[in-house]
Amino acid sequence: MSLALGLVIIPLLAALLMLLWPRLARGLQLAAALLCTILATMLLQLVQQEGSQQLFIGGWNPLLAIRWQADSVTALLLLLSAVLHLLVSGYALAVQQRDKLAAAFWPLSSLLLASLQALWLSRDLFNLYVCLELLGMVAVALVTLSGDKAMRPALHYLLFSLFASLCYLLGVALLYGAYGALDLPLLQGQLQANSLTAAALVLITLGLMLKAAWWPLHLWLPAAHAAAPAPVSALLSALVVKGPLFILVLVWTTLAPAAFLNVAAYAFLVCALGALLLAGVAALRTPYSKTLVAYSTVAQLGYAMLALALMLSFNLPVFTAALWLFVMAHALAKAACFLSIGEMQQTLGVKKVAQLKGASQTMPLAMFAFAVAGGSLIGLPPSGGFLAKWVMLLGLWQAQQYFLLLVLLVATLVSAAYIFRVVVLAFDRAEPTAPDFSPQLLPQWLALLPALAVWAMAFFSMPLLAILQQELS
Amino acid sequence: MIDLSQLLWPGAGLGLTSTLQQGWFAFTLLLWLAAALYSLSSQRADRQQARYWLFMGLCFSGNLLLIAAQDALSFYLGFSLMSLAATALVLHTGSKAAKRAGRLYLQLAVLGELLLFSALVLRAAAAGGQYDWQSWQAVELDHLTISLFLLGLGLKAGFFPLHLWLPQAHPVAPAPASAVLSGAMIKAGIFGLWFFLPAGDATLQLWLPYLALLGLVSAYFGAIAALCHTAPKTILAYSSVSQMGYLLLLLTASWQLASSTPYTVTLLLLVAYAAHHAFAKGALFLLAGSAAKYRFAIFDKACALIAALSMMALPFSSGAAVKTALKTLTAELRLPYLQSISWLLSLGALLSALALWHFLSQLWQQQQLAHHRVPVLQQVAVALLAILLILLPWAWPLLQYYSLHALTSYAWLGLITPVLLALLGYRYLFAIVALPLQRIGQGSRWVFRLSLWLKRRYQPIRQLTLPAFSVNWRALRQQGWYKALRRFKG
Amino acid sequence: MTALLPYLPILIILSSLLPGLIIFSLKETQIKLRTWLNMLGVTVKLIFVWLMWRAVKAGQEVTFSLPFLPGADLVLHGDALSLLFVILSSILWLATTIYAIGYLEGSPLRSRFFGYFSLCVSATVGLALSGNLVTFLLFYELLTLATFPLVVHRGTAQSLAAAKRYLGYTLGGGVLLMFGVALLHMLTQSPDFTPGGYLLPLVASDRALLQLAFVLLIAGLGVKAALLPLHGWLPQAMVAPAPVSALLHAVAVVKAGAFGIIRVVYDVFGVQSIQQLNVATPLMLLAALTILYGSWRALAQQDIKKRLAYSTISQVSYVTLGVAMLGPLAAVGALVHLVHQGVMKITLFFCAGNYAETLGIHDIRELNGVGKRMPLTSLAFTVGALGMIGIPPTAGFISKWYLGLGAAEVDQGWLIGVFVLSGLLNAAYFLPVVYRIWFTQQRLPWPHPQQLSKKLETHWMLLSPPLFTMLLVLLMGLFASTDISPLSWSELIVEREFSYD
Repeated sequence: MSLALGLVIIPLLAALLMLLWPRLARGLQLAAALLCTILATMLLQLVQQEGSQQLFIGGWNPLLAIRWQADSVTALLLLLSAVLHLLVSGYALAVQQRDKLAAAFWPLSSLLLASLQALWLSRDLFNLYVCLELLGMVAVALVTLSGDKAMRPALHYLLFSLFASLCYLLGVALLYGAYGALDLPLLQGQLQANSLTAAALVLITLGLMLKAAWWPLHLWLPAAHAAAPAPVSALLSALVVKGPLFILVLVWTTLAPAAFLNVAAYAFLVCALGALLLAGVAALRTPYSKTLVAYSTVAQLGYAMLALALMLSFNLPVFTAALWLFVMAHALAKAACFLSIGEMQQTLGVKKVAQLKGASQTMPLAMFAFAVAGGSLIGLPPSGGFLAKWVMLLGLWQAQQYFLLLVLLVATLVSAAYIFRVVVLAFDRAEPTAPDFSPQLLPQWLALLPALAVWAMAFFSMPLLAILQQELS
Repeated sequence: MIDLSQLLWPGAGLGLTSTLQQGWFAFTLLLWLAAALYSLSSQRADRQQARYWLFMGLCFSGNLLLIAAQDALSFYLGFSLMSLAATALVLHTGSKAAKRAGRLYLQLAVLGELLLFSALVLRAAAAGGQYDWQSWQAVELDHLTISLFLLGLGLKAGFFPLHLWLPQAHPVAPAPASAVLSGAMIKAGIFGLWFFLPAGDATLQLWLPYLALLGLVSAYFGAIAALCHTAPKTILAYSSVSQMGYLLLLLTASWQLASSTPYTVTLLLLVAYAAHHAFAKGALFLLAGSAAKYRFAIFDKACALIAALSMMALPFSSGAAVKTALKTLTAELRLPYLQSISWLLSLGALLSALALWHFLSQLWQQQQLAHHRVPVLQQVAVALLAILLILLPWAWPLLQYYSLHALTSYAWLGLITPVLLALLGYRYLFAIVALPLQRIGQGSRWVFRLSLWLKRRYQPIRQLTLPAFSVNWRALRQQGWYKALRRFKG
Repeated sequence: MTALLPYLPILIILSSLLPGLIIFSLKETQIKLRTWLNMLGVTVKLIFVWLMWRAVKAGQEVTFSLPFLPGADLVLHGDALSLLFVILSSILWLATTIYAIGYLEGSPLRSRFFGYFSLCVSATVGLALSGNLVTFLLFYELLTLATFPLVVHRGTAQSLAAAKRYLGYTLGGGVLLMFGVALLHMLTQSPDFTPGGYLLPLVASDRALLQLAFVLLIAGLGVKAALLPLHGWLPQAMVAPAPVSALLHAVAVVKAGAFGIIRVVYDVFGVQSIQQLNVATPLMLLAALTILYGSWRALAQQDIKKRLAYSTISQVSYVTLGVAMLGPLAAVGALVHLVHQGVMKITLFFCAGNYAETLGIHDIRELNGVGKRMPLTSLAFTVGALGMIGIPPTAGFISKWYLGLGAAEVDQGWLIGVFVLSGLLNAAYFLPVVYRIWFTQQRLPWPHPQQLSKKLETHWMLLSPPLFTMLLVLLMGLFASTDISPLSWSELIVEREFSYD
């Protein structure tokens, strides 16, 4: 379990050292990210071999101590966040001079990683709250790195985030008052289906939904993600919104009494449909390229919601697998999307979608990265997105949910529409937008990397599903 | 027989296995030879000479191929090669009339081709995937197949009422092309009917009376229609319609008699009739071609007389032999409503003779307008056909019998009367009816109008299309669905 | 050699994929290297295909598989049917590559073009070789993605619109296909394609679901095969450069759909299940309707390529119709038409491209007298057109003949009427063009004449592919009974497909 500890402490330590010696920041960042990746890989191996690991911080007994648990899903998420962090760090390193990336990026992003890793590991409602709060604060701080123009979205983000934390905290307090425990495994099965529990769960869910930018509570997200610098948007969209989602899944699959599940599933379903369709249409209509990608995040989170809703209403293991596959595929694809769009925005000096005209000639690699990542978002085979969608499709056919199949069909087409809205433009040969300076290759390749990774994911579907199955059994 | 089934398609083969094929092949080859000889002279000044020879060559190979075919597909290959290549011959001069006629010809040729195709498919399916002629002989026919064959091949053979293209296309083609069109190519239709419809079939027997009637009607119609026109080649074309009617009649008779008389004999008579018509009609077409440009010498006039009189079946000529044979064979034919057809045949002979006198008179008038003498090569070609025509009834033992038979006093009288009557009638009475008849003849333009109407249907400038819409998102937000849908122009 | 055998399918795909990927990274100016790579890829692929052909002919089956999804490996399988399509696409790829090199000479963004071009062929070949539905789905979608940049290559407003439409249709179709495949996978996993299908045991229990799956699969495949309500993208997509249209119409896209329908009917459902599910008749009616509709629409098109595009809609449905008839002879007709139509249509598109590139002719009315200026191209066009009508001795006749026999065999005589009517319509829109080419005089000067060659009528790289394919059209029609003809091969396939019990 020292591995898990290391995963949190190393980035934390790195962040502190960066503050002390800003000159070493980049080196430290890379080293920490690399180390985390290695540790996460090792942890994944360990979990695969020996089953889920538990750690009680401080070594006290479960009642008092803070419980950390590294099961297979957690290990996967740890690895995912470490890898993406490494990648984004590399990208940031490649573009920092050109984009005048603020020095604060390095410690803040390390801190982000640390809080995220801690969040994946925690199995304690209050500890989760701390991680969530830290995550939110760091994220807001990162958004502000874009300078003055990002202040407004960042402020919105902060306010929403604070309100959400408050809701969550209130809910947790109610639960603590009623049941006297915060540890999830301890609370499991204890909750009664009364109005107090209901209120607590509603508060917790509301807070988490706000933080995870679930439709219709996503209003802060497009502006904030669009305003942030490209590497930050990539981290925010790929990882940060997944944190609250993780907690939500934990709360609803372990804590919630069975009587509430149907209502919750119904509510999640409605949100999911709204996200899939309406946010998709919003992405189709927005004139700004980054906002498009941000809306796509909201829309894609709809799949996760749908999977969660189905998980709650049908006892089919495929939906759990689908959920985490969506999370992983989306993280990789979205990182690639934001990095490539950011790269194009910087190089071409434009913000609007329409101005990406001819990008396939001026910046073929970045555009290719966007298209490839987009393929995964649509769910084209053989990509991670396809894998997730495939698993979900199998489940839906099995559960005979014809209406949802239809929705999924439409949602897929909508996502194809907004992805190809950009891609088609890129092939326009008439008056392509000229780059401000000659495009750099390295960042474009770095943007392509996660996109390729998400396509490679499909070929590791067997081990991935095996890992997720391990969690279920 | 050359077996090509390993190479081409199952059952593919070429060869002249039956007497009918041999005879047919022989006269076709001779006619083509004469036409080619004639072309050497007539197309010398042609700017599109290469194209002419190319398509003549294609037609020629198609024509011979379909005769030598031992299986359905080879026949069809030759048939379509010939049909389509002939379009180029009809179109060759490039005049407005040629274009019109070419269009009509092509429309009907393609139609006939596809009808024949469907008939062949049905037949091949009935034969269990066998395509060779031998195995088809044992397979029963059905009414649909018979009617498809009749329509498909009839459109080529040009008997009434499927003759529409024939009088339009023959006059506009170059003379040697018309000669082979009329002498050899349209006979492919009759040949095909023989080839594909087994004589002994019970269903076919039910059709025979009506087919015979159709043949007679066609014979009458062609002869009468010929009188309504003045252009020599048009007259000849209608005369061909009439002669195809006789051939159909003969074919029907041979089918009916297949069980009683030896089938090969009747078939030989069919060949003889076809050969006679090919040589005579070929010669007349060539002469008509010459008459358009050159003044006739005695020799040319003699050739024209020989060919025309032979067609009128004057005793000693090939026509007399084949007509006598026709009369003998059809004596036992039973037609609906009609007891005997021998007097009908006599009346037909009268009409034929009238038509040919009419042709000769028009030919005479036409050649007087020109000044130059007919080139020797053209004369040679015509002479070749004339000699063949003279030799035909005497050199061929089978026809010798009928030629001699025609010389008996009774038959002799029967043959010569219509010719003389026609001559007298034409000389003294035709002037009265000439004008009304010509007016009737002009009525045949409806065919072109139909063809043009058809062309406009299949070459439309605009078509009814379903509207397609695209959504204008911006307008959707501001003005609602109604405005947002724009007509999509694809 | 036998050690190589199991890897042949993947090698066949890689032989175009790798050159394609390398070509992407080449600079515009590296023309020699690019051409060389292209030709190397083609040659290597043909050698591999030849090796596989020998093996399959001898009765061996070549399978290569990778683990992919649970219950559905990535299976590449070389059987007689897949080889038919592989050979077609490899040979036509050869012709099209040469043509494209000549066609695009001097135009920008060629590296990108040839890169995607190779990817497109890789996807097509992969699709042909795929051994189960999931693999098929994968390559089906990849094909969409690989062809899209080719359709949009010109980058004009028109081609952008066409590409959008193309994507809309094909992605929609792809999603439907995915849903259908998932449904079948849920029911029985995705076993390898088997002659006679593998769904028969389920017909009794899951009748409605199987019918739904069939509809979804056919709708998904029908988009690419341009079945009637789903054909809208095809006439638009003809704005692509001529080699792309040629490839799209003859091999890659529409054939992928048709091939998929063949696979689904014979190797997934199987004739028996289809009969029990009662789904063949609607498909047959739809295909017949498409045949007539496509031909009818082609009549009014004045743009050469557009007329050809509508003709494709009509002609590809012959394949579907042949499949839907469910008889062995009709199947032979359908399979052989898959090849024949490809070769004929590619000839026509090559010729249309030649007219456009050499003389700037796009409209049929500008073709007057072009036979004198470009006799060889016009000859190829004429042969292709006659083939489309079904005149012997072209290849088109053979396929139509077998389709007709098949229709008579399964007692659907009215379908012969459909073939006749379609033949008439084909004649009605092709023969006037042929007439213009050969029998009319040139009235106006050519729109944009270019002197592409000193001796020949056009660049030799533009001239040789249509002549080559024209020759194929004639040879395939004439020597239909020989061992190496598509007809014999189709008969072999049908023998293997219909002798499962």
